[in-house]
Amino acid sequence: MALLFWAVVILLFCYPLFQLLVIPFRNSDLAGLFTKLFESSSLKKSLFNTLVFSFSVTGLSVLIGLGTGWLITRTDLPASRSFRQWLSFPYAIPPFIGAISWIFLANPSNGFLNSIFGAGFLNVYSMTGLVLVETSFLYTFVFLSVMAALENMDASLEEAARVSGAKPWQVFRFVTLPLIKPSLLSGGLLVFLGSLASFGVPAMIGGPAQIRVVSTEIFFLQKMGTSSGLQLSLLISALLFVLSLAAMMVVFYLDSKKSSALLTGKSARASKIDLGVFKYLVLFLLVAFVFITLILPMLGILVSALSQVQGELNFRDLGFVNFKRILFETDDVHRAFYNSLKMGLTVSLIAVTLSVGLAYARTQTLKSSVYKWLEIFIAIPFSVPGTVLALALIVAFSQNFFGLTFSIYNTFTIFIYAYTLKYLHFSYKMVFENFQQVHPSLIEAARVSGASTLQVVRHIWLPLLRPSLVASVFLIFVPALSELTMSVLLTGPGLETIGTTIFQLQEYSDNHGGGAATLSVLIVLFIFIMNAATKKLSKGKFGL
Amino acid sequence: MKTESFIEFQNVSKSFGPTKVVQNINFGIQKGEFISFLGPSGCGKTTCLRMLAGLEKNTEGLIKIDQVTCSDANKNVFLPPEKRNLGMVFQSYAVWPHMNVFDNVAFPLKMKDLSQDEQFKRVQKALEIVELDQLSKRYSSELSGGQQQRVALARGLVMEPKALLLDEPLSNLDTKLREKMRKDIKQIQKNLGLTMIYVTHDQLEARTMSDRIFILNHGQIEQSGTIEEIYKKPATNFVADFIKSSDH
Repeated sequence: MALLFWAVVILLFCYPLFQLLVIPFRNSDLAGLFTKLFESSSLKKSLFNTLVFSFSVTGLSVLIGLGTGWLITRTDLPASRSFRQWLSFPYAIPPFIGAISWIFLANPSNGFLNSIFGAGFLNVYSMTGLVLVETSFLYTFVFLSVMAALENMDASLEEAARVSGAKPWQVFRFVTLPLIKPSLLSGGLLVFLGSLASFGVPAMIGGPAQIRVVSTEIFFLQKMGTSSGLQLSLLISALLFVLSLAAMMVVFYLDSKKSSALLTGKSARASKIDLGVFKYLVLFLLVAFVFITLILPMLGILVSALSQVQGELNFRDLGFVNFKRILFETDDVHRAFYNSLKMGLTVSLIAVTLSVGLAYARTQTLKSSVYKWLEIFIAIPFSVPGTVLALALIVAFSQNFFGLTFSIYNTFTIFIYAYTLKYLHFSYKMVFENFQQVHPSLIEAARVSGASTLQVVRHIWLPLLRPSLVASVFLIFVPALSELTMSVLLTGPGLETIGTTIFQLQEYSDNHGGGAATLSVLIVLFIFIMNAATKKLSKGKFGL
Repeated sequence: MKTESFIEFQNVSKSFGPTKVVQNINFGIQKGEFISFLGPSGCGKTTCLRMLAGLEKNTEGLIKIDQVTCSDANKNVFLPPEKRNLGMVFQSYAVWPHMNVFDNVAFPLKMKDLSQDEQFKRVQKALEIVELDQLSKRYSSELSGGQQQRVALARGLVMEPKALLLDEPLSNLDTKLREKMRKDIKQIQKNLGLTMIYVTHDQLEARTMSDRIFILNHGQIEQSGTIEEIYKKPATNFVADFIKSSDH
């Protein structure tokens, strides 16, 4: 019975992606489609841009993540705990908010910084702008993964090298770096996947800059809706799917490799490397980095949201006009808030329930090898770019489903479906780890003490699982609330979400009106509050 | 006048913030001696060893090795660990998992830019001493705990250090292996005439290996002397209790 249930889950997880792989190849003129793909100069250009963009973002992220992670964990840098927090925070913020802010700050015509420092000071509408904005968010993938490895490493491995005559840089080169390599690579690959899949930043900044990448290309081909364009976009998506699946498999392989070497010791790390005369230079550079990549763009959306006229700072004009207009005078926004909240809550509930069910089955029943496969299937959609996933759902459910006409396209359900596919892996991973920490003897002890099944759940399971349950809700609810990439493809009349509304405001109806920035400010505030709540409820175990 | 000691601590203290973990320690160690720092956990014995290695900076006092001032808190002199020419064996072995046995042991020589030939000869010799010469291509994941401990020992010996520091090296091994390692370490020390400083909470280890024992408590040396002196005439109640309580 339980197995049947999970079989259905697997089917629901795999069917759309399977369709995506199959449909392009059913095309009668497949050869013609491929020729078109490789001959179209605009497609070639997009592909080239995607590669330049993704490799640059990945390279920069690896350098930044590794450098800052090392400075924070291994040197006597002052205020390292605060830096840790400041540098992780962009992880929780959707990158398109950075794009909105930097367009306000540095667009060539009336960018805020350009009107202060003179026209032509900064131009965000360029490949450099695109890369830097995306990197200022995605480097956190490397940072968090490298930090975890550096902090878990047995200190004596490095101390042994010091005593053996290695200078600090030699310790880094011969011991630290080789040991954290799996974590560094898997963080780097996640950045690569993230930039390959990234939609918001390339759409908002790449549009005016006339830089198209594969994800925005798929989006525009879909929105244009010509039949050859649709077929082409499906083919590109299928190829992108295969590519990201391969990358994700490497990530899993690396993740399975790294656990053994690093979780050995717990010896206190008392001796930190003395930065000496460079201490204050490094401190200054890090403060500047946090200011430019995080504080400045956050101030940017705030000023933009409070300004009546975009692009100039006039204190007399600052006010809540935009808030009033956006929040109280626009029906679309009300609907978007309602939809997003409803979707976020529904998806959190579904995902957490499925996670608990699966984690329970995987750890507490005998058929765990069966469930291990399920785990892999859940991870597949997580690795697929949102654009591709949304497209897969559209093609799978706007036509016959095993002979039944079963269209959920343009319904609330398809959003729930898409978000669940995308986010279940997040919550499952966390809940599963938590389950593993609950030793069977804890449950057995409660049983022997006379607790019924229900009492075991209430008094043992729930309190022990609470941290990961709280964190899963945070990890799903927050990104679902401001999801953009999938939503812009799935949306339709009456199905606006906060993400699509921001996109709409920014791209078309309220350009330079500060509307998108206003909603962004609210999202960031919300993330901040949710993060603090999660931290408190999980006693500091989760949250940034 | 007293002859100068090979290793010297003069009024050495260490504080972490307001808490003083080591207070005003003075001692001298002669070349070729086997010394044990013995005491309960948290008594400051490991901190003393780490200050000697340069992994921890003493906040007061002076540390000298072979007439070289390695650390002087008053004059802000501090020699980093890589310049002290010591060997050290850690409790967790600290065998690098990404290098095989040979590369682990060769590492200190590589840091000194010795020629390949010289490295090979010396590593071979060190591995022979610890009886691991057949396993030089293995990785740590393919070694038992005892074998890993021998790799760490060979790595500490290979550069012919001024002294070998051992921080609870046997506490992760089972009883039988411990006995064998105890004998082997003592034998190696005698054969090479090496100065060894051995940190332990196990008085059996201290008693069977050491020339002299320093008993520490609350960051201070309660008593130092030969085994005989300490067992016949414990200087304080703490020493008397400590040697009695763990003596089954």
